[in-house]
Amino acid sequence: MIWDTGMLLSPGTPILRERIWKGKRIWDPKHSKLSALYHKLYQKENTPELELTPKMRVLYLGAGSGTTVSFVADYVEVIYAIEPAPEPMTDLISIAQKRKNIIPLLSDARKPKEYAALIEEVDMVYQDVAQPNQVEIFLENCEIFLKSGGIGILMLKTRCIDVRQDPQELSSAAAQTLSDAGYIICDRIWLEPWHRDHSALVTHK
Amino acid sequence: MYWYESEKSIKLENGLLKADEKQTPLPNWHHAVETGKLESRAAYLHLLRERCIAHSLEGIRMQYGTDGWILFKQVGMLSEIDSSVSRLTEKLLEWDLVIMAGPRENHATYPEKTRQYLREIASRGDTSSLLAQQIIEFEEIRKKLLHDISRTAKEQMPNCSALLGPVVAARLVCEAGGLHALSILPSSTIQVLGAKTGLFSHIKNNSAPPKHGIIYQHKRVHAAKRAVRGKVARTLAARVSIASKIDYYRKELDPQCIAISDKRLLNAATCKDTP
Repeated sequence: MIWDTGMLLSPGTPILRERIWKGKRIWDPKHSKLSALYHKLYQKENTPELELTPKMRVLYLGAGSGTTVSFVADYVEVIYAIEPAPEPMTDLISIAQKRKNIIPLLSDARKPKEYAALIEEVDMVYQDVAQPNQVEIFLENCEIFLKSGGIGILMLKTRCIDVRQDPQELSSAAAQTLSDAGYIICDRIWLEPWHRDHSALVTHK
Repeated sequence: MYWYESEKSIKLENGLLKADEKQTPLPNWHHAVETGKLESRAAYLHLLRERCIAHSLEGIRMQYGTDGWILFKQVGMLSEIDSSVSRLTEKLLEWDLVIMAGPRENHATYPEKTRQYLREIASRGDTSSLLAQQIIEFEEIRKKLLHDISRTAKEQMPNCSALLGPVVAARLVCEAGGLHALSILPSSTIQVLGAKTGLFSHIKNNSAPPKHGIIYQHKRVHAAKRAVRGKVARTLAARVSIASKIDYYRKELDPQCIAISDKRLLNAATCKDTP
């Protein structure tokens, strides 16, 4: 992945009104949780395991309007983007029409069986959905789509799970659930200062 | 059977993509090439992308086609117009204060006076008067929008509309996220729908719970005495819960339900047991 003066850059063609640095798109950690995660790892100097590579196939749950999707698509071979809501999907499709390796699916990540026949085995599952049972949704999808040895990244929105509980506790509970299901937790990183109460769980299958 | 072996492998259900049950999960592009269906991985991805985009677009059309969305957008626009008009009016009156260079009475508290005052400014012929004309025009648009919302709400939820008034009913159903969502909510939630800030501060910091959300706009609730207001809100929410179920499943007006509701509300409002 391309770094320059502490900024994460992305080689693809820019989307309208985007910040550019030396001809490359700036992947802003403020606007993308995945970028925030890479910045955190970059500060600790241990990214190689998580690097996006040109041969990767990625399943992205909760794609939204496709900002992060477009950056991932710059780096990988193909990205399957799941998003159930029509409004962000219109934006996502307009991005997908310009990038040949984005496959948008208007589907609900809670029901992976409905789209299981369309998506192949992937090297990485990335999840960023605002659901109280997001850990279960993540597991269900990884069970079907993630190849063994693949990477799963779960962006835990602790405030969406329960506002009353302590984010730290929720994050450890989620990590416990994942390791009980047979996943190896490689890293648990808080995305401060860019995203509050968001913890990124990096797992291996 | 794999998705690329049939033209109709992807379907739409409730506006979401659904692969046919006969399809094999986790397709393998090697298979597609070996069987001669497609010549390469690039062709495989290209076809999948084309189909997914086409079906997703169709799904968007399908989801937007339902009446719920129209009401949702109308109600959103109504509240946007309300806040914009009030902000613009406030700024305009402040501006006018400077132009006229003298204190005037506080118009914001009297909507009728504000309107009259806006008309005065509009007839003056400078830049501020153009703004006043626009604000007055917005009032007209708002009236039309209200009319539209009432009509849609009465069609879609005759019982809730009869109970709450069509506009409040429409606001409530939008806050809940659709008629089905409203019909499965517990009445305690319906009571505080639209009082998010109060509710979460109650859950987090143990402050006093909110007594009412959107249903406060119903005249029986806001006209009730403070002591019984919570009781009236509770009763109304319980009746809305029933009315929304009738609306969703039976889709017709039930005068008996409305009559009972009115009686209950009257009882709650005139209750003397409260301190």
